[in-house]
This record gives sequence, structure tokens and C-alpha cells, in this order.
Amino acid sequence: MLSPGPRDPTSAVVTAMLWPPIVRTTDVTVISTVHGPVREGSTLTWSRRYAEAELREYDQLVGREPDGAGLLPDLLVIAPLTKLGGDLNYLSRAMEWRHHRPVRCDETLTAELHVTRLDRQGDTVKIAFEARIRAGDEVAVSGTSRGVVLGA
Amino acid sequence: MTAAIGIAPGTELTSRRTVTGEDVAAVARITGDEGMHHISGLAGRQVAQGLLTVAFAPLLRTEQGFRLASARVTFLAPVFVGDTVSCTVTVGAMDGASVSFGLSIRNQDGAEVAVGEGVGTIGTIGAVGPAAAAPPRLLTPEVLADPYPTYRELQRSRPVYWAEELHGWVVTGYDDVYGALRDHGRFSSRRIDRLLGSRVPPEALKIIAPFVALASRWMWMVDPPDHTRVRRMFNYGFTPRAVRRMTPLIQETVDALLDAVADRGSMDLIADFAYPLPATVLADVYGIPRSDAPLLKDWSDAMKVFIGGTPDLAAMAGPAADSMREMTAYFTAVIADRRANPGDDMVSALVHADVAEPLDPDSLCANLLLMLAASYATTQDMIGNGMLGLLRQRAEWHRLQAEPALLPGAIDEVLRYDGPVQLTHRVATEDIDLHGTRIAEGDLVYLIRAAANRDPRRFPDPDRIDVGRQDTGHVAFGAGIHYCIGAALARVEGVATLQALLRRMPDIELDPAAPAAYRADSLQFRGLRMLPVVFPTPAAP
Repeated sequence: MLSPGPRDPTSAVVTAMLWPPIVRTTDVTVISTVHGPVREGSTLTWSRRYAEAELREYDQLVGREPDGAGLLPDLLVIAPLTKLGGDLNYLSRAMEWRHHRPVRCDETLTAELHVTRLDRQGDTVKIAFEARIRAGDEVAVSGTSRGVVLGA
Repeated sequence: MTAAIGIAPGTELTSRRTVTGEDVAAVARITGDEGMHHISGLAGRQVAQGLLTVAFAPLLRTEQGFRLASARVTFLAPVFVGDTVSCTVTVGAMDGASVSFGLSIRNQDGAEVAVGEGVGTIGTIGAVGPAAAAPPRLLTPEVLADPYPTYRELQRSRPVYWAEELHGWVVTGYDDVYGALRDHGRFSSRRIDRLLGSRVPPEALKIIAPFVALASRWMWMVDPPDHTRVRRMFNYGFTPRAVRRMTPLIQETVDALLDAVADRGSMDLIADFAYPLPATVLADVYGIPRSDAPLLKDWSDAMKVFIGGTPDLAAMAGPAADSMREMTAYFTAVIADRRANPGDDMVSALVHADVAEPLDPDSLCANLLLMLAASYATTQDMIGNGMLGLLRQRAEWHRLQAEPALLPGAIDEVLRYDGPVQLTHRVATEDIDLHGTRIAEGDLVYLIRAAANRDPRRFPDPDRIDVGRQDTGHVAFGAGIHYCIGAALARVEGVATLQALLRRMPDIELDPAAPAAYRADSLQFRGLRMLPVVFPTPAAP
């Protein structure tokens, strides 16, 4: 019967060359972005406040009369999240969101995009997020979105 | 249940927009979303931001008085720059201030590019400004019966409005309507396919094909040079001399009709007068037996079904097409007869007109039928609408009694106030920017002449008849190269009618027991179904 001989350091190298070990480094998809490497669990943030000219341009674009109450149009409340999406070359397939409170035009918004899935499948990189918009310390909007990252 | 902004379960709110590169750039500027597929494009085509795709959707864009509580949107296909997206938001359940809705967005090929649903609240935030009206519907019995409040609201809030039910843009301001009527280069009259194709289900297209073939030859459906050729020929029938020759006949017919009712003390001004007057005059003008005059009304009504913005066009297309066939056969025979036996009538004048390019028989027949449709009901409705207005604003009736010299101007004023032809269709020949709204090449445009005629920016106190009004720049007869060819004849009929009624029945008044009623069956042609009036009978000798 054969029995193992003394360990030969070179035999491990040869074995490794012939039968390379499975290294599970590809479990985590990482994409390079202007925010740095992004992977599952990453959170991107961005803050902004709208200028009056931007609000006027939006109203003109969508044919909406200015809001006399000084409240931000609902789509502009969630728009900072789309800016972060654009930074990732993200093409949304689905999104849902909930408004928790109205936002005044002069409030500073902070968008938070938390990556809950990042999965390369062939040429396609699928991604999903949990998203929030904070106005000051309060969550004004929360939601989810999923889609693909283009060119990753 | 109706909500503050005029919506109820089942209400469909619509919008339509062609997405441009500038739109994408604007969203990039406003939001910072500069994904490469938006800016540089995907396979050479710029993709609209998701926010831009839904931003034109009613409710989602956040009208005043409406706030989103939650929404879910699924994007089924990209929207590219150059795509025209039609958004339909359908109002679902309403519970107090809470409103649920469904969303569907389609591109110009009819493909659904996004669907969604959401919930919002109406008017629950006290600080929100006054509620804005939902986009109005035009083809409703209420609006057809009295469109003027809706027109005024459109002028105020949506001067260029996409009406999904009409598959076209609705333009209501005087300057815009007048400018477009005169701009036949950018607003083409060659529209029959668009006009009918968009409103008729495919299975009914076969039924209306003969009408399309006929109507595509009409002078008001063509542009120069075809229009110039047909118009030049038909001018032979409406020269000042020709109209002067008709005047005694018209006056005689007016008197005969009033003779028939004078002793009754009451009449339906439509059935007893305004209906038979143009029928008799047209029969004489065309040189056909007066006994055939009732046929003219039936045929005229048949054509109005096709061209008048009838709410249920598909259901009425079959019978109307049958009438069209009868009418074509009748006038083809009349033309053949006049060719062989010329008489002292308009058909003979046209058949034997000394023009360089005579019309082929089909075009001649088609345009004779157009003349019939254009002059029959419009004369009837001019008289009905005008008399109703004058009898309701009775001080102006008395003013005409005191100042008969105002009569010619009074005809123009009642036409401005409540004209029989409410709108004209055109097709944009290029992309046109109007008040920040882009009308895409090929889009159908409804120029609401009746709205323009009541535009307060042009006519002071526009909802009041002022028989002494000096500004006669109304567009009841249209404007530009398609200005009504029969305008002079219509004025003669109108003046003859008012003169006779003022002279013979000065105390005529609306019958308090039987209110007048509009037909309310067409957005284009406005007129009364009945106009009961009472008047003292002549004193016995």
C-alpha cells in the first residue's frame, strides 16, 4: 500500500499548478465608479439644495405651475437619488418609493443609496438599492430600486 | 365622488410629449443625473432619464393641490430622444382625500414603455395653493352644450393642450389661432387621413374609405397649389355679382317662411325657419328641385358625422357612408345633366367655367358636396345661435331696432359670439414650439376659432354681444387662404333674416315654456336642435 511520504515542498506547488484551488474571490462583484469601488453593502450619499432657477426650469419643463406653498415637487424630492444612479450609469427597471413628509424648496436634501445587490451575470451587472432621502434629520422619502449598470 | 381638482374614479388624465435632447439636458442640469447613456447615448441613441419619462405624467409631476404619497414604476423599455410618449393616468379608488391611480406610458409606436401605480392626496396640505383643474374633456355632453367656460379655462391654463380623446393639440388663444390659420406652410390642411385615422378603429376604416377618397379632394383639405386651382374655379360661384343675384331670392324665401308662421304666434325658429331657408336657397343655387331640399339636410348631416368631432364616430360611420354614396350618385347625375343642359345655376357655372385647368368630375362633385355641407348647416346655425344670443341679450335686439345701420356689423358680432363652426383642424408640417410646448411634425392641431373669438385679450367683454362692436377681426369665417368662400352669401342670408324679423316680429321673444336646446353632438359644428319663440300675431284688419 502506498503511504504518504515526507512532505515535499515542491510537490504542493506542482499540485497547485495541476489542480488550482478554488478561490472564492468572485463572489463579490465590484465596480469602479466616480465614488470609488462599489460593492454590495456600499452606501453612496450626496447632498444638495435646489436653486430657484432650477425649480423654475423644472416647472417649465413639465408644464407645471409654480407651487405657491413653497413645497418641492415630489419628483424633485427623489431626484437626488437619480443623480447617484447616473454616477453609476444605472438604468432603472423598477422603482418604488414612499413620501413620509413634504419638503420645502429651501431644505437641503441628502440622498442615500445603499447597494443591496450587485451581481455580474455575463455581460450584465444587476444592481438593487435601498434608498432614502433625508431632509435635515428626518427621512422624507424611502424606497427601493433595481436595474442594471451599463458599461461596468 | 368628485375631488377638488375635478377627478373621479375612472377619470383618465393624459399628456403627450416628444422627448428632446434639450429635455434630457435640462433634467441633467436640474438633477445632476448625467449617466453616460443619457448624455453620450446607448448604441448611438440618447436615453431619457427615468425621471424625465414620468415627469410629464399627470399627477406624478405634482400638480398644485396633489401630493404623492407613494408610487411604483416599472420601466419596460427605454425612451429615446425623439420618442413621443403618451402618458395616461387612470384614477382609481378615492377615499376622502386619498386617491389611487394607475399609470401607463406608451411611445409613438404604441409600445408600453412604463407602467405603474400610486397613491396621493388631494388638497390635504393647507399650505398648498389653489387646486388646478384636471385636464378637461371636450367630447362630453356638458362641454358640447356649452364649451365656452372650458375654452376660457384652456386659454388661461393650457393654451396648447394635448387632448387624447381628439388625438391632437387644442389651441385656443386668438393670436395663436389666427396665426396658424394664416400659416398654411407650417399648418397644413392636408389632414383627412390623420383626422379620421386616429379616431376610427381599424375595422371601420374600410367603411369610411369612400369618404376619405372624396374628402381628400375638398379644397379645405388641400394646400396650394391644388387649393389654388379648386378655389379659383369655385370663386366663379361666389362672385359679388353672383351673390347679388341671389339676394332677391333669399329675401323672397325669408318672407315666404315668415308668412307661413305669422298667424301662429309661435314657432320653432329652427324647424320652421332656419332649417328650410338654406335648404331652399341651396336647392335654387344648385338648380335642383326644391322637393329634393330635405335630402340636402340628411346628406349634410352625414358628412358632419365624419368631420365634426362626433363622440362615437365608429358607430355612426356605416349609415353616414351609405348617405355619402347616395349623395355622390345624385350630384354626379346633376353634373352630367348640366354639362349637357346648362342652366342659370351654380353647377352649370362651374361645369362650364372658362378656366385653364378645369376640375375632373370627381373633384367637382366632391367640392360641390363640400359646399353643401359647409353652407347648409352653418347658415342654419348662424341664424339659430345668433337669434338665441340676441334674444337672451335683449338690449342688443332693441338696439338693432333703433339703429338698423348696425345690422351688417351685428351679423359679424353674433358670429363672433357663438359661431356655427367652432374649430379648424390642421397638421403641423414641422416641429413647432408654441408657448414652450412642442407640437411635433405630423401632429393634428385643433384651432378653436370659437375660443379665439372670445379671447379677452383680443375682444373686451367677449361674453357679451355688442352689435356696435367695431372690431370685426373675428375668425368665425376662418382666415388666410381658406377664408370661407361663402362668407358674403352667409352675410346676405343673415342680414335678410334679421331685417325681416325686426320688421315683422319686433316683439319676438324666447318661449318661456320651452327652452332652446343645443344639439351638442359635435365639437366642430355648434347649433340648436330647437329654438321655440313666441310673438304677437298681426292685428286682424
